[in-house]
Amino acid sequence: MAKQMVSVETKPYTLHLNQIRKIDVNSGTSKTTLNKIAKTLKEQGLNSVLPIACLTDNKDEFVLLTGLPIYEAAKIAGLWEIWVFLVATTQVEAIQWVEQNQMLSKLNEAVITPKNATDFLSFINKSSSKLTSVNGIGPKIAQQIADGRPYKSLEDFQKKFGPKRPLNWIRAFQQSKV
Amino acid sequence: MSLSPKWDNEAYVSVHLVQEMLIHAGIPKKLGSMSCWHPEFRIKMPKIDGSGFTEKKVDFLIEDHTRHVNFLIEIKSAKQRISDAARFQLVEKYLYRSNIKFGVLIDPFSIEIYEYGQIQPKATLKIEDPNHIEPIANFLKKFLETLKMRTIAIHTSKGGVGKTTLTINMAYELAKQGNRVLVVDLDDQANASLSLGVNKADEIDAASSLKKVEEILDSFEDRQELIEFLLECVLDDFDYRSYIYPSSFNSHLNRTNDGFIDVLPGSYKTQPHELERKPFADNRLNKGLQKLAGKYDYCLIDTPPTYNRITWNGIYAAQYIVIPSQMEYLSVYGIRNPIKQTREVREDTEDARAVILGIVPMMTDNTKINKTVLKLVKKTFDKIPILPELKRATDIREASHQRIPLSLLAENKPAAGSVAKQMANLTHNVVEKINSLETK
Repeated sequence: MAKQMVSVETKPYTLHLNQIRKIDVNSGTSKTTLNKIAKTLKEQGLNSVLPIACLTDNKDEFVLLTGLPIYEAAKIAGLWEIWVFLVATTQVEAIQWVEQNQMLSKLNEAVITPKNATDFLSFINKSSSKLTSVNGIGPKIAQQIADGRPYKSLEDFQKKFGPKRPLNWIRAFQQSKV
Repeated sequence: MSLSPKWDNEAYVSVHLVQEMLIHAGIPKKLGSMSCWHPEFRIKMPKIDGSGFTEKKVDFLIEDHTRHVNFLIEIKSAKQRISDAARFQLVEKYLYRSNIKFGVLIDPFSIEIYEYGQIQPKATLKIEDPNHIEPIANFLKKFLETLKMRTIAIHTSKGGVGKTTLTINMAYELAKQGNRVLVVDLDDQANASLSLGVNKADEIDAASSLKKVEEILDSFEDRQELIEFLLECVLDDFDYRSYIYPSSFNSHLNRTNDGFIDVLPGSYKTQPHELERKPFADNRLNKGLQKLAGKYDYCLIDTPPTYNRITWNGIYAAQYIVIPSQMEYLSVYGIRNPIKQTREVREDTEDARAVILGIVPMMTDNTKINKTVLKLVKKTFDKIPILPELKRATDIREASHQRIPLSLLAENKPAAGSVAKQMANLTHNVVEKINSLETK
């Protein structure tokens, strides 16, 4: 018979904000940023990026190991619970999860859709576009891009500027439109 | 008497007086995976300037799982004795902010027990000699006994065997004996809630159309009931009173001598999905019931016939389990399953939970198959007691239809007397069994 009484395991859970042990230091995140996150949290009703938390001796109390600004913003937003990735162990052992998480979150960039790419291509192909408005493109690169026009495809563009940088520009371009 | 200077040290008092007292009072440091002592328990206190919260540590939060009580302990030493300031801090700050009802203040000279909202102590004892633990532990034990609540789950993995009939009638019999009874309805079909008159059964009966019925059911959407109780009982400002409703059975009970029945009702909203996302989700009812300390003598839990997070909450909260079963061909399976399933809880809690009181043969008659199966059940589960049976009777249906307890039906209809007597006898037997288990 499978074990029925699963009380806690390492996986995502929702925690009430008051179940999270009080944190004395604040994250130092600016009010504007916190308010901005709070606004999105309020609209979405939940956080899609999960802070890591771990257990304490008290079953009703948990310790937050990462993502303090998310917790702070959730408080501002008036959420009564947030999603966390709960590591079912105490603080000392949970630290390695934090390291892994930081590595993983770097790889957790926004996925680029074909439409994002075509939007960006038509933007850079247009001579009236202000290329330097995209984060990461300075006057020098803007000139190089202008000189190489037109670009038939993303691959074509990547041949000139490498595989990685164009993707970052596309993300920045997407964000600047929001 | 002059005390050794060791008692001037609070840590010494904690180890040699308080912790000894708890052990002697039968409250272990840890009970299986259930914690009992929470040292340095943190309580959030708002700052005076309103700029947020600070945390205060009270020496212990104690969970007494055999009595369903929790309380705080604040320790003082011979040098820094109990003072009015300490009393004020415990009652007005710690109890108030932690939403815990009882608090113990202790130094080597005296022990005082407080209830939130009351300035006078509930009980005090002058300590003659802090090296002599026995009388101090007995004092605490005696006080906790006055708050004790017994929890019984009516549980089987087979539906339609009369689980709800058993629950509501046992509740009524217990109330008639002067007990304060809480019925917890964990079944999403909410038959117990309907029968006990907290789920608008009259209105549903009188509804002229299906649409009207839907409207009535929709009104439960905003009601605080079982599922909210389970989800919200960990919040700071949780107040159990907003989830509990008096039963319509109370109108049949005598106000002066009898007890009463309250209901923590369920409905179609009783679904486990949201609980699945919570850590330690099986322990919610157990925790929540501690908040009721001193309010009820008995808590009867009607469980669903399936195993989900909500059923496990019932088993985890129940000290005792009664298994109703018909004596039919498939019954043996319906009995074996709950015995097997709950074994882990018994082991995990060192028999503080899910102890099986016995099997109740339900809707029996004098047919041969009934007798044969009963024999088989006795043989198969030879260690589990068979409780007094409840015979098949149309009166059970009649009482259920009128939504009144069997013993009340019997008052107006003498023919129903026999089944009402069986019910009273069964309840008596269950109480006796518990008494003998607890005096062991």
